Amino acid sequence: MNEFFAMSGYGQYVWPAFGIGFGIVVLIYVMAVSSLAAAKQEAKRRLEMNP
Amino acid sequence: MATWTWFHRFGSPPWVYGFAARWAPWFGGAAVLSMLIALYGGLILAPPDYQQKDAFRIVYIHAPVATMSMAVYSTMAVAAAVGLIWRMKVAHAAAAACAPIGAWFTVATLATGMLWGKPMWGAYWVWDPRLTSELVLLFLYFGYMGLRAGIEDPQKADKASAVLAIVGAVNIPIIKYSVNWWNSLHQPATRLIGEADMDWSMVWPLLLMLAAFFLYFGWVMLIRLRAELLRRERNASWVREVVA
Amino acid sequence: MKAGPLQAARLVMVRDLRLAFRKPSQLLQPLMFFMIVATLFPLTLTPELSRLRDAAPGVLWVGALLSSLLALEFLFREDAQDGTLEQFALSGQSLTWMLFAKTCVHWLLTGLPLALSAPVAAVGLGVPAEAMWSVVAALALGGFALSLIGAISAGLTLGARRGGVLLSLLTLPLAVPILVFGADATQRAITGGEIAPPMYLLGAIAVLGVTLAPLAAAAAVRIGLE
Repeated sequence: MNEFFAMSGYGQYVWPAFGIGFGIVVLIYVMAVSSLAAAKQEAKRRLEMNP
Repeated sequence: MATWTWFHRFGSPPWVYGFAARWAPWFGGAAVLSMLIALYGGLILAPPDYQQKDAFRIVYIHAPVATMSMAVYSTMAVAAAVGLIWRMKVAHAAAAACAPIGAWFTVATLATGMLWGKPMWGAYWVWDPRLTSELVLLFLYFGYMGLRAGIEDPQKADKASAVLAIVGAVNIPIIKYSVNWWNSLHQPATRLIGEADMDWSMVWPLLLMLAAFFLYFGWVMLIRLRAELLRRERNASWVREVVA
Repeated sequence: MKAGPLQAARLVMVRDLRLAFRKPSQLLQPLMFFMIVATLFPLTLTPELSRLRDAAPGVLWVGALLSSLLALEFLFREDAQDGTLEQFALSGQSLTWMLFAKTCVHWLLTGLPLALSAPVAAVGLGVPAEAMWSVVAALALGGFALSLIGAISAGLTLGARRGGVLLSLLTLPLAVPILVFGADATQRAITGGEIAPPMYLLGAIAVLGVTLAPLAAAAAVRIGLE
């Protein structure tokens, strides 16, 4: 198990790389979903203003 | 003609919205599943590399995001061209949706690349052709998004940024082939299929991860596309129906 | 008898040159800017010529790019504001050719003078006398390519807010190959090496630019004028 985390001594590079990489992947998804939610909100508000 | 009906449907914002809403979750599910399997294969099943030991495993995140940074730009440029030539609003919306995704993939490429470069080359950054042209790609994305933001009229913004996307597309082959054209510190392309340079146990997780990232791009792009369509078509009746 | 595209281009060229020479002080501004930039580096880095020589290619090319960007703003702006550009677009003549003419004038008034006066700056950066012709040639060729690329971004930012900054931002990524090869040619000239390879590449970029850039610029201008 410890070997897994050490990654033959390269652990300090491998894990941050995966962390940043997949972190950005998650970030892209979160930003996409929030932009859709905001667009829906905006549209709903306009609907309420001019029924 | 069947092909024209299909093509025409893609010109209709409400139809595309419905298509995106229906298919996005399938892309997402497939993407996540593939990523998990590929991660398991790459981090646990694959043996360490002879020269790079376990550091080579960074390839399983670096190569996919690098490929996507270029693939997304190409998609963006093609969508922009389609929008410009056939005057399709949906195509312009698709191009706009791609840009932030591609920019982040480029950032991820540079970051993961730096973390791989330090142990392998001894430096976080070198000014070699591939890294430099990838950095230029990031500037192109920023320029694209900046141009869109800087032009008030939405149609002008669409068209002007489309021209920019197409002009900038010349950078993509430069990135891809720079390692062949110049003596570069960055390693040249590795043959994966046929006469492979790597053992199959190392190759299949990479291929699966690449596929997973393409599916993932489809997923997030379809989500962003819906947001774009809602914003662009804000006065249309179909938007009111969707939101009510 | 309808004039052909070449005649239209020639007329645009003559017009632009005539207008430019009415305000000679404006002509000198990009040149002055280049000289100032080239002077800043010895002042801030080191007065030692031997060390400046190492930085000379970079200083010369960055200076050339910056003054080119400064002058690009004026390429279309006045004509867009007073409606001349619109007249060009509506005239039924080839907008591509007319913009190519304007780009050539831009180079004749900015890039070429800069290249010809570069030896003055280069001497102050420790560049040896034998290298001067190559320095001039590289800057002239690269400057032409820069003007071509710059015309595209100038056209794209016609209708944008804060177009000046955006123009620089858009030109930079596309200008990178020109800078890389141009600086390489200058570096080789300084160290006495073979300058043909990067010069050929600069030439190739310029040829590509001549064929494609005016087209893209015309498309951009038409979009901006709508």
